Amino acid sequence: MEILYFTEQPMSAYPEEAATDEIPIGGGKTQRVTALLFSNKHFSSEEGSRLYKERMEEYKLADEMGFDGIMLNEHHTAPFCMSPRINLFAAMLAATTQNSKIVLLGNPLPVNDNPVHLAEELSIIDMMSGGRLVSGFVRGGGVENIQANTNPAFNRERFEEAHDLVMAAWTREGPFRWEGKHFDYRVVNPWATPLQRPHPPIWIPGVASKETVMWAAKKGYPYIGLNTNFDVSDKIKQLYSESAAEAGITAGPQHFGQLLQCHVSDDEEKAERNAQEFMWMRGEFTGLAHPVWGSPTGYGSPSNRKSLIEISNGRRPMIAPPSKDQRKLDKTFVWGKPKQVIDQLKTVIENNRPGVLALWGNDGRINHEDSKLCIRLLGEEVLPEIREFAKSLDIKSPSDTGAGYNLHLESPIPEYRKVEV
Amino acid sequence: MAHDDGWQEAEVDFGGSKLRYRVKGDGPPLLLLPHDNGYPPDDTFLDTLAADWRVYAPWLPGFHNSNPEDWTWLRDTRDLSLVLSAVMRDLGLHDLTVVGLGYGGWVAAEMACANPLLFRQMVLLAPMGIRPDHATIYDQFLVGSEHYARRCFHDIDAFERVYTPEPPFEQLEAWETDREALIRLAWKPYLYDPSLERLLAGAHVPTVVLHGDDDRVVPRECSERYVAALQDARLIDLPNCGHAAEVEDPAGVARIVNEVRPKVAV
Repeated sequence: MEILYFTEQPMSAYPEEAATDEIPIGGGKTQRVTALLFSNKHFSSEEGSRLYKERMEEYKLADEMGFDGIMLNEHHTAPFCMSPRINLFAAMLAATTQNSKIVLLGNPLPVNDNPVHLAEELSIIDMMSGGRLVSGFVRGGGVENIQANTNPAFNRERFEEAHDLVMAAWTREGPFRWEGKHFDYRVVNPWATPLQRPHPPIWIPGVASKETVMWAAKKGYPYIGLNTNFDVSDKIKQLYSESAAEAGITAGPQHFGQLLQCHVSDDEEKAERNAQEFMWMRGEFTGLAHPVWGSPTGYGSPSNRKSLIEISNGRRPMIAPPSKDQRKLDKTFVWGKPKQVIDQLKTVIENNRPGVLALWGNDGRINHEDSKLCIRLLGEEVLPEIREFAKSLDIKSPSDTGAGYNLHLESPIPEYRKVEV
Repeated sequence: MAHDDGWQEAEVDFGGSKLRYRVKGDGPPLLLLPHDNGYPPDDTFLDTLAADWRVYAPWLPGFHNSNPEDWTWLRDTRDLSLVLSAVMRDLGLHDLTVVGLGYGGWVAAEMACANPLLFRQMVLLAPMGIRPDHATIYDQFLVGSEHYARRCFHDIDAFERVYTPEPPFEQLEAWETDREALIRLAWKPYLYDPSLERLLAGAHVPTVVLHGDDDRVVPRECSERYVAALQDARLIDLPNCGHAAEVEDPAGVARIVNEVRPKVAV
């Protein structure tokens, strides 16, 4: 099992009382917003400068403490996440950390208009880090699509085509032409290719969208459930295993990962107080938003169409995020002193048998000192014990088994796509 | 297929994609191109027109009730307008009066640019398609479809009379289908085409542009720009009307359309 450290990189210094704007969300109801239209006049560059430096120090500590990977993500136009370009921190970590993998969960492919540049950036990160890149891809949330002005109706098509193009840029000999439905290149010939061959491992994070689970399974890419409870994780496994089998892949723990919130402290009361910070923005970890922003028309899964229509018109309430106590019951959020956390994590590991365990250690306004303490306690006391525990259960990781490599790479570039002069 | 209310429904094949339309009346031919959120459940405006015209009312290709899955290959509003022009020709129609409502006004304008001989005259109600410089077209994609539909009205009681105070799920679903089609065609640039304004110089079709004085969707500037760009056009303001002026004042809008009616049926 591989263990990752994660934080959303919250812009915790904004004045919470500033988020008072209410917008109509249908059915005569209104809601406070902290995403998309929540003005960036509340962003402080001075505080931002401090927070970015603190995060970098914490990531370096996580590397020193022996985490197998540092997980990064990307969001936009909201204070819950200060990372609008995942590759920037990845590049900095490539140059400043030594051992941890740099796990990108993930680059939002559809909102990138230039997948070839993306392939180049990722290649540099892989080379600079000595082959420590894990290149996850996501579709991007609704807000990400809106802020990038990417057509949500073509989100999945763009996701799949951008993936194929990045793969081609990494694995095929250039120069070649690319004339797709959404991306068009006269010449693809990147002079920056990944160190890892045939390509950096691909992991796919998500919250259980059926189409994405099936897509990942058919390619043999590990699927990382983001704060999914036992029931949802079980459904993911079942769907993934069935789809993988259709592609001739036998799914195992190496194909499943689990992100959960996990805060450790040396004092129970402090752990409890800091745990409450994860519930900022009413526990909505992608910020408070109009339901249409979270799932613009054309973006959502067709199987959820009815409920999306009702929610976006105020006929059905938005699904409220689970309370802190519910998360504790679900084991999607564990907190306490190291021993308490270890016991709870063992239950998760025993039940989910994840090949990847991502620990979301810090959030909200948890201060720098407490964040570092959490990372240190995780590294010194929690990781060794749960690693041993996973070993005793024979839980293999993607690295142990080579999962994450595309098993269906196309043959060399066809003649007609070669570039002639 | 004939209905009790006198409307006949038909389907036309376009290279394997099926377009559906309704037709009613015996006067000169009139093509009605609807708003981006489709036809209201109440046909008052269409029936009023059908008293004096032979009204052809297609469901826009890809939108609700027009076999959406057939039309996912359309990439923009110009594609859609070319399909409609070809279908009109295939139906043997010409010298049409076209009434284009909002988004339908943009479609009509595109058709006129490419095929001016198709139309005898145009009546465009708050047409989209041109980017205003001093305001923006209301961004319906940031709100629910019912919220947008309500915003199209000056008088919210009129909305509720037509759609009921709480429109049923079937209506919400129809709006969603319309929106899916519109997003595919006009997400970016948002509800305009950068070259349309210049192309209008070639649309030699006498035109009346109507604009509700309380239109909170399309800025009046858009209608003014149409009038300036077309060779023969004039602007009429509609008092106490929003973007859906033809629903709020069906008789008033139909009267203006009738004023441009040819003296002799063609």
